[in-house]
Amino acid sequence: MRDQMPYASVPLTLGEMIDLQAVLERDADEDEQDLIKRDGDVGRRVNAAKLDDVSAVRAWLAEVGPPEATAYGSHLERWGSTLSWLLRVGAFAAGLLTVAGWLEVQGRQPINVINFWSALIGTQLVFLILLAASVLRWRWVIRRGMTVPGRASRALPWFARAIESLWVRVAKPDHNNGLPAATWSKVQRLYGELFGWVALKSTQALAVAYNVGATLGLVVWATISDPSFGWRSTLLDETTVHRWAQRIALPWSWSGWAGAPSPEVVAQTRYSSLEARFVEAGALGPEAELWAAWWPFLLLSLLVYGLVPRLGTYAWTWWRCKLALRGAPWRSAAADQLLHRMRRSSLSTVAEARPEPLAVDTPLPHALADEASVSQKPVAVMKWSGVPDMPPSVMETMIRFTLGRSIWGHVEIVGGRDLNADEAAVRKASAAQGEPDVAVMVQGWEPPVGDHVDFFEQLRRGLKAGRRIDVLVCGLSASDAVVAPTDAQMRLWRRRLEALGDPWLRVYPVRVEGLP
Amino acid sequence: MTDEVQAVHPVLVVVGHVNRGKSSIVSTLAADDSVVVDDTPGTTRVARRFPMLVNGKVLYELVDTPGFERARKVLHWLEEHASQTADRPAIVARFVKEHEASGQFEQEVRLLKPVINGGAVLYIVDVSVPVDERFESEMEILRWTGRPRMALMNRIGDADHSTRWRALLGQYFLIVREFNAYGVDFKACVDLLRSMRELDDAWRPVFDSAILALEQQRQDNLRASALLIAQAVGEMATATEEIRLTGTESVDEPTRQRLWQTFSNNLRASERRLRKKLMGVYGHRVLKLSDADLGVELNDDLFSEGTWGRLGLSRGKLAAGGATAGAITGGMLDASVGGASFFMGALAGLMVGGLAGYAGWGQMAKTQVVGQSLGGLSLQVGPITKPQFYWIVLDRALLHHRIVSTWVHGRRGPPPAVGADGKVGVVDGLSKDHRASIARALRNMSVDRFTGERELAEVLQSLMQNDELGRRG
Repeated sequence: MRDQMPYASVPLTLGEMIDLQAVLERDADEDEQDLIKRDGDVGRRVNAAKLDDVSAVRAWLAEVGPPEATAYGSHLERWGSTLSWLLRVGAFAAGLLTVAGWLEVQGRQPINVINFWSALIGTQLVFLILLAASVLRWRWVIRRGMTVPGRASRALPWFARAIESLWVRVAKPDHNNGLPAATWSKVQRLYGELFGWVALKSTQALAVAYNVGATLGLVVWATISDPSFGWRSTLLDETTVHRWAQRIALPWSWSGWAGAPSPEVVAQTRYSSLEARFVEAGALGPEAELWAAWWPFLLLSLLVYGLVPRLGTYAWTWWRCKLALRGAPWRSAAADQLLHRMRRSSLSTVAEARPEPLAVDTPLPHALADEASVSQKPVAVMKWSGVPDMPPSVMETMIRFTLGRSIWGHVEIVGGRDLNADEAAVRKASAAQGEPDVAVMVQGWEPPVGDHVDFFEQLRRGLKAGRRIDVLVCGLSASDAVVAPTDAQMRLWRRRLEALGDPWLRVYPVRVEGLP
Repeated sequence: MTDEVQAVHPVLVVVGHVNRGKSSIVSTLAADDSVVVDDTPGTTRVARRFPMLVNGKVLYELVDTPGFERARKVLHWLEEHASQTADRPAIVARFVKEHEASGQFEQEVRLLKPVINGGAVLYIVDVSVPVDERFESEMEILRWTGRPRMALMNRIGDADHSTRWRALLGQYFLIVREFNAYGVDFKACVDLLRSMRELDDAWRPVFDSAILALEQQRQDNLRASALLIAQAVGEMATATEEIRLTGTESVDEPTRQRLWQTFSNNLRASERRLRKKLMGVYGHRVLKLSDADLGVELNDDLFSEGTWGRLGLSRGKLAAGGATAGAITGGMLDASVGGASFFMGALAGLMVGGLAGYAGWGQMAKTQVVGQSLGGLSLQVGPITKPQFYWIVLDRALLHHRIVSTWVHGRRGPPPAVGADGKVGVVDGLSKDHRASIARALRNMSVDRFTGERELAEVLQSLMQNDELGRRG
């Protein structure tokens, strides 16, 4: 089971959630059947039924997620991470170089401890207090939404676009349409807070790196050089400085290793910028150890007030990130829909191949279009089996209405089960005196089939060229009476019989106006 | 799955005349509406195969044939070549073999080949037309194959010749069923599959599996629809639209109107998208429901007063609701002073609430000027604050779903109009529990859209299942 769930305990990352949101937005206009097929196929490939939700979504993103050119979430994550690491290295270097530079270029006077402590540690304490105040969510302290994560969350679209622009410059993709502003806005609403915590975590990592660099600088320069520390002030006296040093050293003075400098050290390391002895070379010789006595105090201050709190805030933001990540809302109805598509059983009933589209509106051939019959001679009538029976007088009237001619002889029945009856009817028409034309009444409500085609060919062979065959297409009423056929029925019959290529064959709708 | 190899799964060869419901039945059973659209009478020349695949495995196969072209001649040939009744299936096989290469009786060969290879016959007739001898020839040929046969009596026109047809079909077919191809529902399709089990004992487990798979698919479709509707409602519940304001310009009425127009058009587009998606869930891809087909409740504009009124939320009702709420509030004030106010509180509340309800009809969402995070101002409208709007959206979505889910693929023409049973909206008939659950989900949606969406989907799925069960009796 574990093998099938390689990422089960790892929640979706911010980048994956953004990509998921982007693809779900893209899919919003896709045909649902296409999505069911696509995601069903992916689901079966990755065995989604046995994966937990996060793993299934992750596997799906890997299969059909956005292409590299549009994987904005992944870009944001990758480039953001790279940028964060670069900044950490920069912060480490900045801490190291700040301390090293300060110690290296101290000049001919000792380093003023008050300046050094204030710049390196005091400012950090101020920032820490500001950070603590900014993350408080109590309305009476600070307005909701104005916290650092809250503020930072608003920068997500801006930051994402900056990353996207950077990526376009570096990777030069073939196409990069960018996410619509509405999608970014949605992403910001959904994941803005998480982004805020990620950004805050990055700043704390940066601060840790800075303090590590500064601490390392202090240790290294104290090892390879001999920086001297003293203090000078117009307003502060030895007692005050010692008292403050004692207060600052409270957190570690219990250890007994290095508390605050003694009152004597404080008094003896006071100097003035006007004291001539610093100007004279070698003046510090006999008191060198005294001037170095401030170093442990400064190192421990840096550790206790710089590095340790930042490690704490880093751990806290890391934990908040983790919480925010776990609580990040990716389980929308759309995501549930995706998981459902991946896991639903596949059932297909459609045809494997669709036929070529048919030209259904072929214009009627001119030769078979309606035209008035010019001959007045009687016509031999055949009735296809299935055309309702009717009294001779009705039949006579119908033929007269339709063709303007009378009926020659008896009406023959063709198209029945007995093929010999067709043959007999054709023979009879062929041998008829006066060579009358032939009218065949057919069922318009049934489509013409091969049997009809064969019969008309047989009839033509019997009648020889020149004698007309008028096909009278009949419709059927609800009471089973013959009525005029519909246009669709006429079209169907004409199209099929046109294929015979018989120049003396016409197709007419039967006319029943005025019939009783 | 070629004709050459005897199929290991049931094959049902559908035979019948065009325009007699054959394609509609195939379309319905195959859930493929392209069959009906492609069906131009007299032009179909190929037998199309519709395998029912469940997780890649073929359960059964439908073969839609173009029908007989020369039934009389084929029967004549068979009768000329048969000497004993027991030889008839072999004679049919010989007919196919002899004419396969020649090209003569091409349609009959295509039709009969899957039958003699082990298929069963599903013969479709239209009982609104009278019986004639041509049908008898066809039935006789099918009887000669010796394969299991089932006849479906479809009635397209007004005339009814079913008695005569039944008498005739009974002589040629093992099973004769009535099946209205243009008016069937899911239950009728499942019933048809059940009766197909009777064709061959060996096929029973296969059709049982097919029925189970179809039932499962139906459930899956309900779930998918519920999620889609919930998603659309969630989208609407959080939708906003804004335009940036330049400088200190004052916001005039035309600007507000323009913004509202864009906003409301987006919501209309969301509803259209939902409808398209729902059609997709049920596989209606080729035949589309036109707006006119949907009936006035769904065809009318989402924001029109008429729509709201028809779905049970008229201006008067809103005013009445407001008046009631106002009267209750005022009444509580009266009670707090021991009736010393002579119920003026209730009266005032009634009037104020009623007027507010009446006047608030058109005010769907607040339009306000808001500050932007990077400076500047913008005019923003939305999301819609009137809860009734979401009930209307839901009602229309559920009505649409009801139509789409019952509109089988073989059906031609518009679906039955909603409200034909006297009940216009779905929401109107909801139980108290369902109403409360939906109201809770809608409330939660405004706080946490995704949670609200999922809650709503759960309720909707249960509703749809009930609706389905109710309709299936």
